[in-house]
Amino acid sequence: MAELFSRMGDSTPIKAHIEISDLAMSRGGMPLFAGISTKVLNGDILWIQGDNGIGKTTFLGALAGLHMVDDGKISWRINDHPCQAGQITAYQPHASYAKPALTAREDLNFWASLYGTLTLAETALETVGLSTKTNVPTRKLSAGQRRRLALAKLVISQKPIWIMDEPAAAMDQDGLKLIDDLVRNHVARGGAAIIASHSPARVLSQATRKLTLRATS
Amino acid sequence: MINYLANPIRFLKFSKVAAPIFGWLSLGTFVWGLYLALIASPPAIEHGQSVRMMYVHVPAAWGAQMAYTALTIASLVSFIWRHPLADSAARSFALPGTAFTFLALVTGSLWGRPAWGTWWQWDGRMTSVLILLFIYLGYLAIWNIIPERKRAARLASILAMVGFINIPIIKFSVDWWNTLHQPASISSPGAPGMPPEILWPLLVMVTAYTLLFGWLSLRGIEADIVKSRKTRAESKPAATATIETL
Amino acid sequence: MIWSLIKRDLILAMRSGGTWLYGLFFFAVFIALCAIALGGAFNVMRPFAPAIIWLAVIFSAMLSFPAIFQSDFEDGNLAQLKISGQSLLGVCTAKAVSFATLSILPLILAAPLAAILFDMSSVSIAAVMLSIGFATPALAIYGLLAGAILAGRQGGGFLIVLITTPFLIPILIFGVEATQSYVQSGLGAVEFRVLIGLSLISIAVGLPAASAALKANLE
Repeated sequence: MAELFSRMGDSTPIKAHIEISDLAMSRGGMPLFAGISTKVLNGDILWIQGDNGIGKTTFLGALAGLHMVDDGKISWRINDHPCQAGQITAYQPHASYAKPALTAREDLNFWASLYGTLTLAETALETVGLSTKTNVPTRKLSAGQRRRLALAKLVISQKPIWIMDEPAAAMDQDGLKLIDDLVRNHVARGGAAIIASHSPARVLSQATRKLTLRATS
Repeated sequence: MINYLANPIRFLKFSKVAAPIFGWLSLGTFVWGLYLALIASPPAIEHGQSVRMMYVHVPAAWGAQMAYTALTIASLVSFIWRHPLADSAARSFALPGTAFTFLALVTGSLWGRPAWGTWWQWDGRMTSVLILLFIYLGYLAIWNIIPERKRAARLASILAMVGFINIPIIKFSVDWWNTLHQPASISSPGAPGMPPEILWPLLVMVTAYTLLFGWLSLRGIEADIVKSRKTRAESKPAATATIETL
Repeated sequence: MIWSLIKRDLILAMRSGGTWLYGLFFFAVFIALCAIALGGAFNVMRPFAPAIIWLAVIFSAMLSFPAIFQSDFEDGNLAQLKISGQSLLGVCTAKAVSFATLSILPLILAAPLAAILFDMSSVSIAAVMLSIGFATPALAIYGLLAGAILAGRQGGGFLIVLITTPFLIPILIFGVEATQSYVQSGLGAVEFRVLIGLSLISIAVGLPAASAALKANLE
């Protein structure tokens, strides 16, 4: 872990933040939530909670710049200048997006080549505990191992704000500790994390804020 | 004017007045045009009575192309400004356009029977109209298969615009492919050589089709606006968020 | 980025257990069926041979169109590509290149075999291969456009045929005409210039439209 983060250099990530004002979104024409306003700054851990189907995934996708919003505004900023969502956020979706036919190393290297961080890929695989699985096709990995691979992608993206959708699902005790450590190190370097989770990993007890989505009765 | 009408409520008000005007004018022009075409005008020298099919066919072909042009303009507006009214308009232009295209094919075939001796000829014009029908059907299918309205509007507008650019290419290739088609004077009203007793009924019929298109489109847009308002009104209240600092 | 994506797609195709060859099998089956339907006499079939080969190419390509974006759309790779800040125009370019390589190039290489089955002259064989080659960008890009529009829709197969047909008709017309003119005028035939023109138009218009459609499907 220490090696990975030291390899990333000591440059604190750029001062990035996301500003959400009066956000309203819907899915398939049905409104999900409305009137959300908050800010995510460097060093923040924002814990998103809510029942199934309330719109957590849609909310996270919007923060990653995936969806159009119905109303309100999300603005992504570097040093207070507006930027594209992709410049400052990395998104770990709930489902694995590893290509089944590629080996763990090939899959990670593909993304590393896009992010320009090929030098980090090998260390990242070791850090997430996949060093013995580098040449195994990802379809032969367990669900938990695929989640570890997704964590490695989050790290090598070198983006200051991590957006994680249920990272703890299918993870063993070791895995939960891994998430804890990664997020803690990331935030210590000046990064931020937005995490949707039902089962709080220990790191979530350090969350600076908790956002709960509740149905209006 | 366009800015003023861009608001759906104002548009509905405008349409309440304008649609019936288009409707009644269209009906009147049709009666007048059909009288001129079927009774007042003389049979053509080489085509005989069957030339009267032209008064139904040529305006339908014109309507089909006009509707597609209108559809493309609405799509352009929808694509650039993402305006819901332009979505409604584009969608409402497509149905009458498809109907006109189909009518042009059927009447062309009926007209072709005495003129060519067969129900169908692979001549440049008929083939182009047939391909236009495919374009319309593909466009309508996009609206059909994609449930999310905004996304359907966007994808349909992209297809409509690329399709519009493709139309002259299709015309060019089909003409290249079959240089044996009817002389051009039949499809272009007002061309030299078209006597006024044929030209007049034709122009009246073209006007009638255009007014009909206006009426159908306005009614279509009205229905579309009302429908999308209803779905919005029916939906349940959204969730809210509470934020605690830990 | 474009090169990484092409390389990845080629590796995936090689490991797919030969599914990328299905288009080629279809091509062979289509040609055999046509020969059987036409009675199998060379003197009857020879005039139709370029048209049949062209039809086989078009249908084979159409059947491959839905797969262009399907798996990357469903497993979230396209969404990741978009939010990681990659240009969708670049993604579309990469996809067009890998589609041309995996789905059309094999057909061009197989065309001489098909030509043997119709007893075509070597000049005609060269003409067929060249005409398909010049039309490849247009074939790939209009398929890409339809695939991008219908990404994530189940049962889009027939619809993709309907949507792409108007775009493929000019290509079919000039492709078949080009094979016939080549015998007299060689590569100088006007039809080849038109095919190149069609490919250039598809790059200028179809590629941005495909990336816009992809964007619409990802938001």
